[in-house]
Amino acid sequence: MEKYLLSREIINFHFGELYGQIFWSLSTYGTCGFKELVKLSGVSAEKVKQAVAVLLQHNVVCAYERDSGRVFMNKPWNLDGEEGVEVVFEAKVEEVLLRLRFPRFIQLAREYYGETGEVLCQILLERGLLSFEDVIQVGITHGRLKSSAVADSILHKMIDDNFVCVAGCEYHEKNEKDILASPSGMKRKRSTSSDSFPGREEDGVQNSSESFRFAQLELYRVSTNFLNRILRHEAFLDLVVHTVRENCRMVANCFRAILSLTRREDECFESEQSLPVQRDAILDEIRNQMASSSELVTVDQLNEALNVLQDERYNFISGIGMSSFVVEIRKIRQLLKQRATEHLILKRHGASGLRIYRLLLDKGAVEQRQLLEFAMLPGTTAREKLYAMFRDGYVVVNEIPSSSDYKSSRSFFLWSVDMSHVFTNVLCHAYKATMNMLIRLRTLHAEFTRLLGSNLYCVSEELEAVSIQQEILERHLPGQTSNMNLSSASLELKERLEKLQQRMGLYEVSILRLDKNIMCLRDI
Amino acid sequence: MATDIEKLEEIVLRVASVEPYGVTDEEIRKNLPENVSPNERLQTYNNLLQRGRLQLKKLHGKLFYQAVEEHFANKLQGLTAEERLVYSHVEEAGNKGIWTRDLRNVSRLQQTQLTKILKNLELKKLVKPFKSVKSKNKKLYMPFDLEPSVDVTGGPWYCNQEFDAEFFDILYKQSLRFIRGSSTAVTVGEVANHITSLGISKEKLEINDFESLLQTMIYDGVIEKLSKRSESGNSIVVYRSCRHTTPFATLGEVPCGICPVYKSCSIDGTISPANCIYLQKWEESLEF
Repeated sequence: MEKYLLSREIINFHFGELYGQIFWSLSTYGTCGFKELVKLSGVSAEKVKQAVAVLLQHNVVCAYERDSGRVFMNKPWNLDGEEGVEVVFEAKVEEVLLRLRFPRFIQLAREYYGETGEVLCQILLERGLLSFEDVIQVGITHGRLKSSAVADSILHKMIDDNFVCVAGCEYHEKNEKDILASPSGMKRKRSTSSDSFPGREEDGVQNSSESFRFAQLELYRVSTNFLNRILRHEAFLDLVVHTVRENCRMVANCFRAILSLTRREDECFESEQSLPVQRDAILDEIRNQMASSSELVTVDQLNEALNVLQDERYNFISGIGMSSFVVEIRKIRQLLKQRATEHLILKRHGASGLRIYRLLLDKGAVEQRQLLEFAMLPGTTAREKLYAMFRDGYVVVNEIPSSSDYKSSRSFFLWSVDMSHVFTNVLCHAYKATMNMLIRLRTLHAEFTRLLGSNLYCVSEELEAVSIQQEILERHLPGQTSNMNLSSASLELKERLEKLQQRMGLYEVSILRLDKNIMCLRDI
Repeated sequence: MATDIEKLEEIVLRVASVEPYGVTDEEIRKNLPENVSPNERLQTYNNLLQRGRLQLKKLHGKLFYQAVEEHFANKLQGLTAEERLVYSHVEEAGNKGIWTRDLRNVSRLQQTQLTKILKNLELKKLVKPFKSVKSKNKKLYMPFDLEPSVDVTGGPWYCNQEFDAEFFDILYKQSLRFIRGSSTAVTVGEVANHITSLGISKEKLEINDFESLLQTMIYDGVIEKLSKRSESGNSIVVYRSCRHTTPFATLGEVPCGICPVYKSCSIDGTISPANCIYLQKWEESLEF
């Protein structure tokens, strides 16, 4: 439930309450048609139509053809259906949650493609699904992109690297080859014209007809899957850096190289291990990464780092044969989740709580008496901690009756830890904490707007609004302070606004960091 | 004749004291001179049993004769049959003790009678009551001259059936300081030697006790266990300090992560993020 509440709050925050209301109806009711949605939301049809169009544009709602179940990509704004096709809508809750990660996506774009890449990524995230020309056009029109030729080549590079993908390709996997085989380079622009697809008339061939829908539209979006993969590898690397003590720098370089080599193929998040990587390839990759440095990495250094990563204490990688290595994805994921959970338990229940939790993980199911004996804690403290952790859902107790009458006085009560249950609990807790932060941030924004006396916060264009606010603050506040003698009321207002800004900054950073926590528990 | 009986008694006692659970009649007969008649042998047994120097025990359907120390026999002298019965059960339980309810069940005596008997035995310093760490409300009895087992007392970490947290904390801190101060990983023996040399503990601590202390430190995440090859080529367990920081763990850092009432918090509820005092305090504490 927390996940749905958080997604509604994000929509409220980014688009406005009307959008939130419609999204909430869709996410709680499930897939429904336009008329049902109007009835459910209690808003006029025109407003619903407008809101759904925006949500479709931002890829947080998707439309299906009711009978065929195909994604309705063609003219998504035609809500009443096309050519007699009835369209149903579905909320994409997971996609909404990814909106918390937008600042990190932008940061990645800057890292990989420089300033132009950052602007292109920003445009795609702000505007939702856009055609190739539109992305460039928006950037040029608003003066955010200097040269269309440079932007063109960088956008091509982003598409080739899978950083930006064709919208909807995840739903049309069977046609993926067609999409990927669609014209690249300059042809991408021409492909919007239906003339370039003479086969369109051949409606008898179902597969080709589907791929034409794509090619005809060719709307692009930031590939959240690919970016999540990069972020996930960053998380893996962070874990290694935070854990390994021996030969840290070389080990980190080595692990980075292995991850970088497996990134393109590492598509399945649930896989146990990555694809094997050759020792020579790792060495080459490290040397490429350290090309700017004068230091030369030797085979011995690499072997030493590989041995540390393979050590039984860590088991971050495993050797296959003599010279191939695989990343132990499952183990690393589990360890990351485990660390995040343990940190929370430490903060909530102290060192004694963490001791009890780890002890139960180590020993399995244990009777309370044994547990108190192993935990090396005074009886009352241990019992209090145990029950507090039970209330929070970190430990569970199972009753094993020793007689057929199920008499509790003759039963054994075994305490244990249900890992998956704990991870779910912590994830829900993280959702709730993020939602609270968002609500608080929204309250502060409202207060900030009220104080400024104008309705500045335009929810559908959050990033622009923030810059507008900053501009106005710059215009009003520093100028006033430097050039004018302010009245005491103005000074007070300035102070309050600055304080509010500080607080908003605090919440923004916290939300971003909490999203890392969520990613670690859910997407990794 | 009298001398012969005394000699026979001596032989019987010597043979019966060899085995801790006593010996059978056949074994005693083998050790007696050949000319001793069964009557004489029976008379010897009866004399010794009467004086309390010999005890009869039934094990696996066989009768065993067990010798009793003279000073002890003197103590048991004058005990009634019920008292002897109760004492024998207490003695059987050894240093783990026997609960009064179990004693009542096995002796089939009334509670009042049993209480009286136990009081008498206590006065004669034959048995002593004590309580176990595992069940503080149960009164257990054990022979007076025995020391309770570690299972019952809880070992060196317990004092008067209570966990001695202060003592444990001192040892914990000293051991941790030693491990952190060592340039290389240390063995459990080295930690034990260090603590013994400090003279903190009046009680003698075993290697097992140090192992459980170090295991607690591992659970707390302050040290880690490694295996290392010794000079002789054997694998040995060593310990070293560790400070694993946790990436991506922010939930515990924000007020909602550690909030005691986060489950009752809702958007429209009495406890709401919009008017949360914990969040307000947090904002104020982080203002520059």
